[in-house]
Amino acid sequence: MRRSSVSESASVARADRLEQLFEAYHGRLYALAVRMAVAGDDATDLVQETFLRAVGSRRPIPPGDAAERWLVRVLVNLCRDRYRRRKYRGQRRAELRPRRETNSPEAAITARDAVHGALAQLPARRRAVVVLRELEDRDTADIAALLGMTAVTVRWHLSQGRQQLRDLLSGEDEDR
Amino acid sequence: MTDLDHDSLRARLRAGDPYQGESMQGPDAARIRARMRAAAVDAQVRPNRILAAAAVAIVTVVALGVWVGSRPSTTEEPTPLPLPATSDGAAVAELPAEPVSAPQPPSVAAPTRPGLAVVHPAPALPSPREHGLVVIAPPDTADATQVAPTGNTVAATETPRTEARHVQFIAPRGTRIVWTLDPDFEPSTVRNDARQARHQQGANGKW
Repeated sequence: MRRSSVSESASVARADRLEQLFEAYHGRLYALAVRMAVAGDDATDLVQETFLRAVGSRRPIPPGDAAERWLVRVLVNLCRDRYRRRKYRGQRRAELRPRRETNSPEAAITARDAVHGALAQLPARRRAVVVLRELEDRDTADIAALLGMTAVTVRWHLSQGRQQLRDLLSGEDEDR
Repeated sequence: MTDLDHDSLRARLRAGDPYQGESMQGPDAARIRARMRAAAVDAQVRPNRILAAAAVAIVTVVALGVWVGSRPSTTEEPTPLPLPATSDGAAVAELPAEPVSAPQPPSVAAPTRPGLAVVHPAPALPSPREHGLVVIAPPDTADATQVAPTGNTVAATETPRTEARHVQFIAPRGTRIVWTLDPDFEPSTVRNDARQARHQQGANGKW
């Protein structure tokens, strides 16, 4: 009886802590999810899945700022799983791109679709590195800590990702 | 723009940033909070369910073990088969010491040493009647020539090794057929089989 009450209180404490983390980081995770999402993904669903994974995890919740890194890593791994699943199903790369509204008169929408489509074609971890570096202005050490990789790996992903984006966006311009 | 340098690439990415500063909707945030609460409760209950399932599995395995252990032993002697009678009431003579056509299972041929338990009971030798044959006494006994008028009746004579053996039977239409087996052309395996059968009968104490 005592053991069950102890585990119950621990579970309640974990749920409370995750709610605090949700309040603190859900906006930031949502922004990252919007940038990481590919066609068919919903950023809200990604954030929800991230926190549900955190709830179901047996690991203790890291204290302090490490919790943010942990949640970002969970989100990136989730995107990576979805990317692999799509790749496994043989979904064509072109289908990963959001449909471009060619008739839209607004150039901003077109540019956003192009960037979104180009980002969607990067592998999830590489996409995360590029997003965190180019769109969120994080430095290499910070990205390495967030994603749990070495700085050298971050730089390599950044270089490869930039090259891929250059090719993709140049191709988009030529198609236009 | 076929060759984007670093700065222009960054500018291009920022111009087309998919995130436009929007935030998560209030109802969505409330729904996620509620699902987190439910998932936390479920995560608390799940280990109890796993423990209960494991306990049920262990109890089932123990019960099966007890049941298997309490089953009667399979080392009992099988009851000998009753000697069949012919359909018309004709007496069937005792089987000779050497059955003619009974197959010998190889597992029962070797006698067991004292002190060793018999794991599998020796299967009862099939009655010749099951093969549609009735084996009657050798010709030197009194009823050696008595055969049933119907069915396939075989009379086998147990003769010394140097003499020919006779097998006689009556075909369904009444024709009496007698085979004479020359010992010089009889394969040695038949003799070995007959010897084994005699040995087996002594070991099992039947027939």
